[in-house]
This record gives sequence, structure tokens and C-alpha cells, in this order.
Amino acid sequence: MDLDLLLGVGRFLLATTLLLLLTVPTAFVVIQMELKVIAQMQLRYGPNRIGPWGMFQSTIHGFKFLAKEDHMPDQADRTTFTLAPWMVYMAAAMSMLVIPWAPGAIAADFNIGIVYFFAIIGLSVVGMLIAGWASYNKYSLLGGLRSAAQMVSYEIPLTLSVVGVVVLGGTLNFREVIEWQLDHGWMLLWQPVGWGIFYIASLAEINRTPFDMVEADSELVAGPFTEYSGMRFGFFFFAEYVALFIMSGIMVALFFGGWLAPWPFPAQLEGFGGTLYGIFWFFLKSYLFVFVAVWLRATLPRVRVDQLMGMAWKVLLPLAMLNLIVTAGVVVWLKL
Amino acid sequence: MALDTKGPPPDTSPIVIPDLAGDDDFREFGMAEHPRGGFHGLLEVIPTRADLVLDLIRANSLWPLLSGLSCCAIEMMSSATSKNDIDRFGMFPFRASPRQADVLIVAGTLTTKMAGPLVRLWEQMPEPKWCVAMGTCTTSGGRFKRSYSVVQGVDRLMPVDVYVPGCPPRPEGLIYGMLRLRELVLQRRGEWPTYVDRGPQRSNWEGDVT
Repeated sequence: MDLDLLLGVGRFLLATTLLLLLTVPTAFVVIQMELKVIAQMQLRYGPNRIGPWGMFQSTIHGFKFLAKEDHMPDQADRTTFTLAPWMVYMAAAMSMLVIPWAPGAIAADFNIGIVYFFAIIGLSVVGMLIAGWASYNKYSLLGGLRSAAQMVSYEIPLTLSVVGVVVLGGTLNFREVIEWQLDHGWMLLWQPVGWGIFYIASLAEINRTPFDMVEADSELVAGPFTEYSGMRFGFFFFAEYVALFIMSGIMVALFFGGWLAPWPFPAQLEGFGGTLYGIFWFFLKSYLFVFVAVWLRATLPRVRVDQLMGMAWKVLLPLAMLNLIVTAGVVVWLKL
Repeated sequence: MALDTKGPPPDTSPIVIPDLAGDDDFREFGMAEHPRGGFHGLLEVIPTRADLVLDLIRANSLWPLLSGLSCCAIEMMSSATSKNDIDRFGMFPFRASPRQADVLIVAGTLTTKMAGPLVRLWEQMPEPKWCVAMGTCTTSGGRFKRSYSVVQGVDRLMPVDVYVPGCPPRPEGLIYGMLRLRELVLQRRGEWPTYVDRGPQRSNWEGDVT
């Protein structure tokens, strides 16, 4: 057998295992951020009993799910009910494959990384829909259909806003987009409208407040997750927060220079130290946007369903189209 | 330290396991339907050595169910606000779905009309679960003693772990009750009772309107 092929398979297995293992601490860190940051913004202390500054509270919450009774409604569709949390979680975990952590630290350096990412992150809507349908519960079904409507609608402006980046950078590879930004400055300067559309649509895509119509607990008990208990709900819970981190990371890669350091620092370094340097800046920027999402949650109320859908189709979609046409026109006119 | 959570002293007569058909699988574990009656009979959870660790985790992550019945519910909400921050003990995310909640805080007067939905919520909660009776209405009937429309104490419907007196109790009172529940969980750490007694714990009180 070919040695290169064996090495490639081994490298792939190692990278996927590491990424799958990385999802759990990522979820714990993001949940802990959510607990503590919202508490501070509401002039509370937040969890402060478990560990120093209560920093292990989210871990305790997570491990509690392991020991809760795993309940399945009598009339639930057993196969799909079991499949749904797995699907949502894997959609989040698989899309981590193309995240550019640092130069030389990308699990799969595809030439169609951007297409792959938006194809895989869109799979979670299937998981939500079958979770709502399989639970045999009217609130679950309503939540599932709502999530399908919302996520499918917002996927269009989300993807269209990225096409501007692709046209400008001339590539579908995350690494090459970041290398383009090394020469030309951050994509935010070239695509401010595209970034605005991407940010709003990405919040809706991962069901964050102000667009958390899926788990609107004052209207639909807990949306598609109503009948889930124990670790199955834990998987949904983890997937939600992992997706928040992933969306922040992808936004950093596309619009904020990925692993490139901001102005007073050298943009990137050589060798193994350069990889660590890149990982440091990537995580710093990503968690900055996770913080902004938590901040928005502490600030904004939930929008109405019709306002939500109207904004996707009447505002964001035409804006994204206009942005794409203007970008393409400028690229052709100036021969960039 | 012993917590008085049961009310009247328990029935100490020897428990005879009746010979019931259909539960032979559980016979070797010494389990059967409770002879003094109840909803479920069989033990839902089999304690293992892992429960020594898991109970420590459960005690620090008690998620209440988002259900309020009347005025005590206002104080329950108030216990999550800035001044009385129940989130400090890991009890904050009030889950709206009973499938994801650990503690049922019965906050407020339980009318006979609402008793059915409340029992249903309690039975929908997955094990392990606990119940806190908040306010005098839920502990004994309170102001509505001998009323035709009010359940005279919620412990007629479900086993209650902690009673919080007061009309309504202050948020500090509820937080104190929740901390006593935490102590209770730690006290029973790894030692679950063989029988889950789901029967009514008070049969008849003097002066009850029956």
C-alpha cells in the first residue's frame, strides 16, 4: 500500500479525533461564558460555588445530563428520535473540519472548504426538524417547523453574503482567503455590508437571541427539544454552543483575517511558534465574537416570527444581492 | 444532622413483599410494588458506586421547573433576580420543559382543578427528581384550610423533600430551602432508598373536609 495514502488516512483520523474531543471543552467554555457574562450584565454574581470563581459550573451542568433518566415518549418514532441529537451534534462537529486554526493547522485544507462548511452546517436543520417530528408533541412539531423555516430562509442571505468574499478573494479555500487578507487587509474593509448581512444571518442560523425562535420557551415549551431528556438533550445543548463558537470562528476567518494578528503586532510568524501565535489570535478573535453574541442575548428581546421572516426575505436578501452585484462589478471594472 | 422532611413519623411495620405476577425480573433485586400503595411501586433508579460521584454533581446542578401557581411564583422569580441570585448555587436555568428539570418548586396555592396538570408535570419529570413545597398553601392548605377548592397540602399528591413555610416565603427563604435540598441530596449520597414511596404521606387529619 502507498505510504503517502496511509499517512494521509492516519493524519485524517488523528485530526477528526482531536476535533471531536475539542467540541466538549469548547461547549463547556462557551456555556460558562454565557452563565458568567450574562450574570455580570444583570448585576448578579453568577455561579460562584464550584471551583475558583465558579468556573466548573458548566461542567457540572453537562455531567448531570449523563445521569438523568433517558426518557422516550411512547408514541415517538424510535429511530428518528434517537437519530436527531446525533445529527445536530455531528453537523456542528463535522463543520469544524475546515476551520483554519493557524498556518499549517487545518484538519482538511479543501479547495472547496467554504462550500463544504455551508453544506454541513445546514444539515443541523434536518436534525431539528426530525427531532420535532419524532417527539409526537405539538410544541416539538411547531418548534421543528419554525426552525426549518427560519434556518432555511437565513441560509440564503448567509451564503450570498459570503459569495462577495469569494468573488473578491477568487478562492473557495479558507487558507487562501486568509492569505488574500494578508496582502490586501482584512475583508471587513472591503465587504462591510457583506459582514453585516453575514453576522445577522449567522445569529439566526445558529438560533441565538434575538432570533431564538426555535427554543422560545415562553411560546413553545422548549421547541423541538421539549421531549428530550438526559444526554440526548445534552447533545442538542452542546451542539448549540459549539455552533456558536464555529460561526464566530468562520466569521473571523472570512472577515477578520483569521489567524492574522492586528496592526501593531507582526501579522504572522514562521515555524511552530508561528502556529501557536496564529492559534492564539484565532481563539482571541473568535471568543470576542462569542462574547458579543452573549452580550446581544443579555440586551435584546426576541423578534416576532413574521418580523424575522420579513427581514430575511425583504431586507437581507435584496441587500445581499446588491452587495454581490456591486462587488462583482467592481472586480470586473478594476480587474482586481 | 437529620432533616425533618417527612412530617409525621413513618410507618415502621415490617414490609412484606407481595407475590406479584410479571415482575420476576426485579425479584432478585428485592424490588416489588410497594405494599402501602403508590403510583409506581418499582424503584426507577438502581444506585451504584457511581452515584457517590453523581450525587455530588446533582446536588450542585438542581434545575427548577419553570412553573408557578400563584403569588409564591412572584417570590420564586424574585429569587433569580440580581439581589437574591439563586444562580450562584447552579440552580438558575429555569427549564420550561419538565423533561429537563430536576426540582419541582410548587409555588403557590394548588387548587383541585390544577392538581391534575401538576401531577402530570411531576410524572413527566425524569428521575432523579425532587419536590419543594413553597408557601403555607402547599405545605398544609394555609389560608385556604378547609376550603373546598384547594388541595390541603401538596404532599397528598407527590412526595415532598423540603417544605418552605411563609405566606409567601421571602426569596431568601426559598434559597434557604433549596440549600437544605442540596444538603438532603448530599445526605442521601449513594444511598437511595430501596422503595420509592409514592403514596400519600398523610392519610387523614382531624378536621379535614372529606
